[in-house]
Amino acid sequence: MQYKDYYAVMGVERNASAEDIKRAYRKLARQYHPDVSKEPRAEERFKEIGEAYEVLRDPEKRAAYDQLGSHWHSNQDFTPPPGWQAGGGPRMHGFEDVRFSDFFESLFGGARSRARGADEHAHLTITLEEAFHGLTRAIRLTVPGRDGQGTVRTLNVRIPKGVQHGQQIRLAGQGNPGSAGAGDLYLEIDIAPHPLYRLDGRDLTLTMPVTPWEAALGAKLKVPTLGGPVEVRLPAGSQTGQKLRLKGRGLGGTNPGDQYVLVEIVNPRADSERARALYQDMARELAFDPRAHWGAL
Amino acid sequence: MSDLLQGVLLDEFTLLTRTDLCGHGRLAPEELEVLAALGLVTPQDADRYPATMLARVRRAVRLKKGLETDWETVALIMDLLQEIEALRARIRHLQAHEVAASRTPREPS
Repeated sequence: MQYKDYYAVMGVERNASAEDIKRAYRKLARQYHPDVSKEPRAEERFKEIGEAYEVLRDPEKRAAYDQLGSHWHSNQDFTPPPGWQAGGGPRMHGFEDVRFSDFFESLFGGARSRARGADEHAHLTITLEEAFHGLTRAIRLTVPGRDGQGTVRTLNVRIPKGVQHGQQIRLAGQGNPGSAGAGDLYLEIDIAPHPLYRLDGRDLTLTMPVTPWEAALGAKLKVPTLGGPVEVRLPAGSQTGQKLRLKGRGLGGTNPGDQYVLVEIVNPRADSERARALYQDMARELAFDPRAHWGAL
Repeated sequence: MSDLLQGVLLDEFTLLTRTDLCGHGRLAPEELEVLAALGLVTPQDADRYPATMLARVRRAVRLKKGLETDWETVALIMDLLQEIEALRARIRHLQAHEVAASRTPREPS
């Protein structure tokens, strides 16, 4: 196992006061708390900070830790001195449901002897198509080992169809082991952005480019949906921004959502003689002022 | 390869009892009452809660412990985080719309 320099983790001097340590923790917690931070590896870093704070905030644990001396360096191979007896006892403050490192366990072990193992939280990114159809995915989780190296555990997990972005799946007993039973694994689903569809809960929105004559005269158009293409009747006189609803064509599950088709009229360029002549004909023949509601200027 | 695991989807159609919610959320019943009073947790009926509340409870507990703060501040943080997430989703949508518009063919086929 490897030595952990808790003072370095907290960014404080070895003689820092309790108030300095508290202040440093609060600053780091704001920066790395996984629920508020966008920093890479925030969760891992926050666990390190929490472990360091657990020791340095407690005078008995801190005194015991300081007994090891200041000649150690982070990540140096470490074995507790013969006859080592930890100070501080099993008292844990805010982190009783967090798994700490083997280094911590070797110094202050037994703290969670009657506790259920810590829950774990992991993210799984899937495509929108996978969310629609459901899938089975092998998930690799790294479990910290006694030697300080991680061992990889593979879980084969069924993701139900219709799962939404941000929803969680609870896998009972797949978290960290504990003497009162293993904790749970919470798998949070992230649905990757899709080039065609925008996702809002179970509903999907697809922008449908149409020609001016399709919008003006009406048309039957083929529209993609996650369940396969369908034919949609575009009413005559449609305008950009109007929405058509395809009921039940959103993400599935117990209560399937809808797919909305957002009409967007795309004008052809007037970049040929013929095209310009057609636009000039329209200008002459159609009494049309889209700014009439502004009144006389 | 392990056996196929089928977890519990924490959606609004799965209901948890108060005991389940406190047990899985590692929260005391009186703390759940505080969260309900602050509007962070809404029951479906007298003793059952939508399973989506478990994610909220777990997040609230993590924030309270990690930031060493009180439930009122946690409620404020969670409201603001929810608003930030909604605004980020809106930005992603607008950016995706811009990209899609730039890809839309402007030439008649």
